[in-house]
Amino acid sequence: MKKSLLLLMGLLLIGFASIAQTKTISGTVTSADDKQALPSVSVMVKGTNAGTQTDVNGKYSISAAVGSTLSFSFIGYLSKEVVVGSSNVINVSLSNDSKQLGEVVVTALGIQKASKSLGYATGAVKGDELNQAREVNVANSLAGKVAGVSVTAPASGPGGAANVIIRGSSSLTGSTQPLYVLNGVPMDNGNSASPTNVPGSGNSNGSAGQYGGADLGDGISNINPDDIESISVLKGAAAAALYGSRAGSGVIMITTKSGKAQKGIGVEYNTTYQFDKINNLTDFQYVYGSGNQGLKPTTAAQAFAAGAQSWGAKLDGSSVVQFDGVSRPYVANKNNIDDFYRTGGTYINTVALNGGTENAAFRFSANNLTNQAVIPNSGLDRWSFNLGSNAKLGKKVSADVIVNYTVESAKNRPNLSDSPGNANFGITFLPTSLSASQTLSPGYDANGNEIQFDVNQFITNPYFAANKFIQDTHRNRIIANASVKYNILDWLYIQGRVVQDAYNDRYTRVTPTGTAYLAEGSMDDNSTRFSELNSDILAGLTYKITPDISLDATAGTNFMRRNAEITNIFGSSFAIPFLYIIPNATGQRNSYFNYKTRINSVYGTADLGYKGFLYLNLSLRNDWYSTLSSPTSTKTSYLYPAASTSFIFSELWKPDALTYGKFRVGYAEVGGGGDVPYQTSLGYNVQGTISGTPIGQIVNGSIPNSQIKPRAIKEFEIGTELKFFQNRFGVDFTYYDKKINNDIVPVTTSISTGYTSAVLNIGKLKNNGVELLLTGTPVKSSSGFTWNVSFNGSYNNSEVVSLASGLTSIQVGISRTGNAFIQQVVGKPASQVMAFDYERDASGNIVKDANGVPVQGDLKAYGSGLYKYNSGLNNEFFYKNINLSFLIDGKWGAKIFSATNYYATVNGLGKNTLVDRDKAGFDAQSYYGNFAQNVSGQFVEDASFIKLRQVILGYNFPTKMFDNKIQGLKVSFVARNLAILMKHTTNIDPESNYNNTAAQGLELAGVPPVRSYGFNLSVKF
Amino acid sequence: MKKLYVKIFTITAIIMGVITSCTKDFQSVNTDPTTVPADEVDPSLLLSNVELTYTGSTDFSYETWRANLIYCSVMMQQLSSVNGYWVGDKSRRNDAYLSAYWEKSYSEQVKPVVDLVTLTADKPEHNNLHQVARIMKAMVFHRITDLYGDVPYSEAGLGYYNQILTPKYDAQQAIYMDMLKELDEASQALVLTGGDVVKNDIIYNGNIVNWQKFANSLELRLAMRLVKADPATAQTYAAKAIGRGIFDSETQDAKVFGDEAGDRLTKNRNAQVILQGYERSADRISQTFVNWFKSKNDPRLALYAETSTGAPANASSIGMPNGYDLGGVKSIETAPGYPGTLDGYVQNATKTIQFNSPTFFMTAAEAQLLAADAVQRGFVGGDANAYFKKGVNLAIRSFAYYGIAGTQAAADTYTATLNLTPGAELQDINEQIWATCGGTYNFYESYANWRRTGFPALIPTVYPTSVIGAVIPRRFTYPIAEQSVNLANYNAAVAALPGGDVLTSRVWWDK
Repeated sequence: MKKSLLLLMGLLLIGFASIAQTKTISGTVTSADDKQALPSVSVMVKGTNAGTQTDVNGKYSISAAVGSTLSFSFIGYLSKEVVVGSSNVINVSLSNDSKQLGEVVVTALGIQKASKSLGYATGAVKGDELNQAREVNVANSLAGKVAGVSVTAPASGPGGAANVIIRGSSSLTGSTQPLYVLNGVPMDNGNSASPTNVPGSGNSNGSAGQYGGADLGDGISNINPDDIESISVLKGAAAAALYGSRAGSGVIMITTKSGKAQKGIGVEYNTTYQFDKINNLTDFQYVYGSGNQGLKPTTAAQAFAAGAQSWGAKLDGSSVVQFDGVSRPYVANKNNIDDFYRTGGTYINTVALNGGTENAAFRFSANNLTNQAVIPNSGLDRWSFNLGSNAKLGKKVSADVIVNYTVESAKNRPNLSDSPGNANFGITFLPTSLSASQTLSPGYDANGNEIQFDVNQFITNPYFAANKFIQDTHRNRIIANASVKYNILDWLYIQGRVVQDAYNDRYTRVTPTGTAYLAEGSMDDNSTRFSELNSDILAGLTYKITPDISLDATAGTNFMRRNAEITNIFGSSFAIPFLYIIPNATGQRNSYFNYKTRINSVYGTADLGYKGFLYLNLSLRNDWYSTLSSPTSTKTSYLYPAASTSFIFSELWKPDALTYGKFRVGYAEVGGGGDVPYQTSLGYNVQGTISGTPIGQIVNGSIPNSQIKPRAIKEFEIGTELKFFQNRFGVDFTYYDKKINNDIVPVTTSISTGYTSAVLNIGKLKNNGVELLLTGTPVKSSSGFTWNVSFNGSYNNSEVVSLASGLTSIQVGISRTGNAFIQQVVGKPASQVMAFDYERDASGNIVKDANGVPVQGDLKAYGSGLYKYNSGLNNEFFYKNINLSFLIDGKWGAKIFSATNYYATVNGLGKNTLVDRDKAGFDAQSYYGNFAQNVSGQFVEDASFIKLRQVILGYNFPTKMFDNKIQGLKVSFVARNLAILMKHTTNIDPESNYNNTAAQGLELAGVPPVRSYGFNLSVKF
Repeated sequence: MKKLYVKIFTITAIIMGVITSCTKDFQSVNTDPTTVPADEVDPSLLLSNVELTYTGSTDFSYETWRANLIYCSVMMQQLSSVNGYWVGDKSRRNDAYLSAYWEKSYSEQVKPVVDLVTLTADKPEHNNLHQVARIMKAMVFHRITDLYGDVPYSEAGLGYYNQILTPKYDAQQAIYMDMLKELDEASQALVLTGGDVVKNDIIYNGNIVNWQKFANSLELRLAMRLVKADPATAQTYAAKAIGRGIFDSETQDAKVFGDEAGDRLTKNRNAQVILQGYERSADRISQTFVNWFKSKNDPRLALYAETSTGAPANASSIGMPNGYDLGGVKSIETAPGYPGTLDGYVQNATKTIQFNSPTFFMTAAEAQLLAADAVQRGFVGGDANAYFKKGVNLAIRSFAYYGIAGTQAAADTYTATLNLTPGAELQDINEQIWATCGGTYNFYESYANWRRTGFPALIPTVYPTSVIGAVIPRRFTYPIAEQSVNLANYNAAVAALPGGDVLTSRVWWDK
């Protein structure tokens, strides 16, 4: 049957060729922007299979009939179609598509597809948009750029993780972060203490929590933005279904640059320097100084006991003794915070070499990033090397090898949240009557011991925390990707690919000798060996069933094996003070963890196209999980179907104003959460010995479950894409409805179960919303002035529909204050900020106790810690060689519990504590302390904001200025996070969550927000 | 062409075959290579675990610090600290500290002991181990319920075996009845000779005779707890326990020695806290306790307290009054008789707070004194004075385990002339229980016995920011987290608690 079909097609083609008048057309394809030749542009005779590519000089030649249409397409450029007329030469210049990757979109598994054929929404960002105004973590550069993608940098300084949430939270307690895919294959997004899918990841390990901790970063930050060709965001299940279980939170696909055919060796150099200054948002009182009970300290001991308490007397300039025994004027030192944080900076250099012929090409880049954080003595140094090469071995075989190697060292990642070792905590709550630089600096005395300023030893001197605590991470990571593609026939290929993502991490944390709360010191030395091997075989065909009906199909299989080994050595009490090596620790404990996961998969897709305007995409994936295997459960296999359709209605109906119109609809099921191993049974081992007797233990902190299954995500989406007035104005609109069932979650349980949590398949979480992308070119004058504007906005409404029977809420986070929680509550949007309200009597009056302090009422849901509305507005102006752009982003509809304001209140530092402070007989210190403890709801704030996120002013030097010896020279002045245009929070940045877990809505003593300014220079030789 | 399809088909078939065969080892892949499953583990490994964790948390003495020291020791006026966060005799409120015992006992003690009971149930080869597990289980739970009142018991620690995620709070009365029954049964089910050898026992090293005495002594403690709420039951079980034989030598003291080599995992919990610089400089022996020792001419003053230079305390030594801070709202400098420096007050004797020091769960002294109490109340026949003398004698002897020499002679000399004061027998007996528990750092038990008997008659401290005024709390409030994760059961428990979930409400047996 198929054979005869082929025969028929062949005959048809031959017949067509013999009838029409064909001739050879040749020409050059150039880029409209820089007039440079464009190699590898696809040139097709429309409606046929005939096609070729341009060579290194942008030249092509093809035979085509007069009257047929040639179509020219290339990634990142708007396609062009030209009708073959009398001329034998057709020169084409393609213009840059600034917003989209043109006609071709990188989809799941790295398969490139025509944008118009997609039945689902994708977002795209080009590499150029990421490497001018920079973030240390490239994912943070996506903030405000893609509709439906909410990006927040936690308040953890450079080198921290990014919080990227696509179409709302997709897990009740697990990771809500998307899958990052590098050149078609998943990459790990974990960090030193918690590689992805290791129990504890996304929770306390590697990110800050109730009792402090540091943000140890994530995997995506290992990628150098200069190496990124494009980023494509697969937002919904329909787009991501081919990644099966791992795609539940969306997929961010990164394609790195590879070699391109060109004359000689091209050299690109990009350098950026940006400096960072903190944006101090605190607005504390400068009326009262250090002390207790409204009194100035009269002895050093009293001053020491008062410590961080600002419950002293009115600042009157008199000489008052301080904790160090020295008397100083009792005045407000308003610059403590600004003086403590230094000007940080990031210096980034990339050199890339590019060269090759049509048969083999390479690109090699070397990049160094050096960052000095605003916290003294903290920073990050990263080297990354990327080699992208491709070769054609004869007509049928091509091969790609991409190797990415990163060496990253972070020095003193700052502690966040709780006070021990947290410089931010110490400096934030310092009474203003103490001068930080005079009394606390350098944090240690002549013997190296901490200069303690508060009787509570756990409030670490901020200078001691910065200068003496050690919290270093080192990572060596290699991601090697090799693939071979064999074109068996013109329309059939088979591809094999092997990818190894491997890293070795070392994490060293030292509580130094002389620390007030641990004078003998201690250290943790943590080593992680992680590897994930993906090997897949993929067969694909592109086939014209009839001249009108095309079929693109792929089928493949994937084996994933992930191993993570973690060894930790804890040492305490250093025999030789200040010598921080494990053998010097007199007490030692070891622990060892080994996590293994396997997923086997088969998948297939079929895209049927009809006349280039109607497409149907079907896909199916089956995953087998090792993680679901248990002695009592053998059901380890799950099937994920997806279907979507795209209809280019403008091909049939096209009013004058409409250039392009598409309607799309898709439905898909994906899974997720079946990734964490060893959750199906109890395990026992030995944790140590006591006088020779072994001490056993149950290792599970979470109650295992032998019957778990992956969570099921079902998502429907419908949308339209419209372009008007010759692409001057575009609209892309999507509605989606995403239901997450049977989430696998370690549900925080009552500790009286014996366990802190239980692994359950529970509940239903629902997200629905809309995404809107508006693009326009309001001005495009002949004088060379262009104004492009794009707006993206999204609205996500989430609801926790149900939890396990009997559960009306589960806890995912708790503030250091102990009286505010993040919970998933049935009937409410995800990640509710829970705090205690006032107690009210029948007539609604606030109930007070004998001392007049409002009594604690019920635990109340104040709203979601996740933003409901996300938006970004980008304006770009081009005039001749000058370009100016600015990005404003805004988010609304989230709440945050400010533990910073809780402590500011308890310590008498907040302006709110000025009320009635001097009233006779009023014990303000007890009142505000108990009031803060009882009614934590007063610290829940609206986290909405509008920020001026990014400004770029650039100038492209004309190449003729350099006799064309330089192919391009561009200088840009860049700035990020310039201003907060609107916020409702006091003392804190609305975006100051200290981690990227599901427990959004908590903050305390994070690194202050910074403004960055700098310049960027890029040269191409 | 056909060949090609055949090839593709074959390849596909092979791939499918490989995938299905590859899933066969998934079960072993999904078994944590660093652990063994329940059917391979020696359950006695959990016995050493619960015996150790009952001394305090492996997480840097977490609840020992907060509950035993910061609350109980200063409420009972046996220790005293000017550190403001020692709130037990000051503001009296710190919700997180009050939660500490609950959090650590359920996660570190209840979890292994319930698992141990479950793993050994109905297994004749583990009979003795099972009985020991039941005794330890009562040991673990009675302290939890004594501190909080109605608490999860019958459904606690069964998150894995019964999938109970929100355990109900059992009435304290029901908990006590069950614990008494359990101890009674366990004591009798122990096989003294020829039974299974109990391994990994860091209390008695598998000595079943001692375990039986321990069960009986604990049964007596629990029985006597009920003298106010249910005297009949108290009498029944006290008589059974004494009848079967309680501790009668300090060599039977239930205790676990710390081990410095294991660092935080195994160091003595109290020592680990008090020896830190900022605790050692601020923590002292309470004036109330010092004065009591002095009034009794008790030799333990010199064993338990020392001056800042390490000299044994004597009749001229002074203890630090409770309820003062350092430069805060009620500074120690304002205390009557302030010696000018904190070093003027005596501190914990260094020998009693070594990292290798024992943590006492129950002493023979306490058992004998409880028997004296039972006789005095007429629950059982016997000589209250003899029990009393023996109890005090054993209490002094127990100090030998701190590495102190000559305690035997000191004990015998002191108790030779010691007798109950006619008309104040219960006061004498229970002040001695207070002293022996405090002397062995078991402030939890001082607190429970004080609430049971009202002895000694402590004068509550006055501290300006106390949330309940000048009153000694009668219980610990429930963890706030329970309102978040176990609300319905929490609400039911609070509704059943006269006075609500506050520090001044009384647990059932504390009528």
